[in-house]
Amino acid sequence: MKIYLRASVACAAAGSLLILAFLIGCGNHAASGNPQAAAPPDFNGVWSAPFTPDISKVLGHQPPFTPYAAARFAKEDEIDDPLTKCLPIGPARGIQAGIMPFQIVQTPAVFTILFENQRTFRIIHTDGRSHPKDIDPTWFGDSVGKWEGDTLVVDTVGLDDRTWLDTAGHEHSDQLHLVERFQKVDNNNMKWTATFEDPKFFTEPWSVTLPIARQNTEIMSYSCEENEKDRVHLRRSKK
Amino acid sequence: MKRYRRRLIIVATVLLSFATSVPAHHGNAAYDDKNPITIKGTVTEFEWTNPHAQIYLDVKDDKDNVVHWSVETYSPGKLVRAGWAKDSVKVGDHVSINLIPAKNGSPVGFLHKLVLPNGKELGLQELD
Repeated sequence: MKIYLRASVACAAAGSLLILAFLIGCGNHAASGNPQAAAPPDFNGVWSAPFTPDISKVLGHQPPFTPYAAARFAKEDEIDDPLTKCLPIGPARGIQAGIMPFQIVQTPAVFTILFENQRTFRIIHTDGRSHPKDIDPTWFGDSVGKWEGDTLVVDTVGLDDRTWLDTAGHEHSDQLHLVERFQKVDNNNMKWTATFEDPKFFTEPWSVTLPIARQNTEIMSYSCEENEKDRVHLRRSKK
Repeated sequence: MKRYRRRLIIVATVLLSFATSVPAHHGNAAYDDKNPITIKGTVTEFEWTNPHAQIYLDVKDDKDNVVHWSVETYSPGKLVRAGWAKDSVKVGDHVSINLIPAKNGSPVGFLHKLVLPNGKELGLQELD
């Protein structure tokens, strides 16, 4: 009987130790920041930011122009807007002045933004890769993203200097380094912060933050050239 | 979180108040957005096309001469969100259109609001 009792106590003690070890193990696992421990928030759906044709209005002043950029901006005219020529809208303008909503399709390896505007898209790689060493500039650049808690931090380089940052004519060079933070606020809202760094156009990096809201709609048809009739009416407003 | 959401809404409202230019693919380069006018006439054609739906109408001027106007507006996708449909406007409809006219003085404009024969108004504000 005594032997049986001792065996039972020993078993109970061993069981408790096992449970304790399991709980400690779980705690360490969560604290280690293992990406599998906490799934990133779900951004899937159709979204839109308030149409913001002049980014300096959000900033409260003009961006910190270099003399070169200031001289260019003084002569810039809406008639030269790349969208007027039906060229692609570019990554940041597509979000803050895309005119139309965009859809996010999210998988573990990619975070994709499908713009209704010109039915163009961005692919943001979230599989841990880095930018390629030699990048030929493209309309939406090369984007890699990593999760920081509830926020996707997207780093984009290799951008074609023909896109504008907004309708007002803020430009950039192919040295633009764009860092965006997509932060989920709740199921229907997110906060988007874009930081623009471009030694040719800006003396220092600058940032804007906009709210982005979920839209009760779908991405619809759009084509810039289908029945374009108004280009002939455009008039230059600056000399 | 609630307070944060309210703050976002306030920011959104302030930002929307900045959005004075026509959200078209060509900005305001074609139109005089400071001097909107209203024209009344008979629709001769309604094109439900990208990048802008187009309404053509005959409008009588002060001297009873018929002037053929061409009025553009949003893309069909954006119009659907604002309550329009491809058959919202029919040939022969007598309509009233508030628009911003072309800077070059030609009978061309960008629609802000349309009033149908039955009094129904169609604008550009997206519906929830």
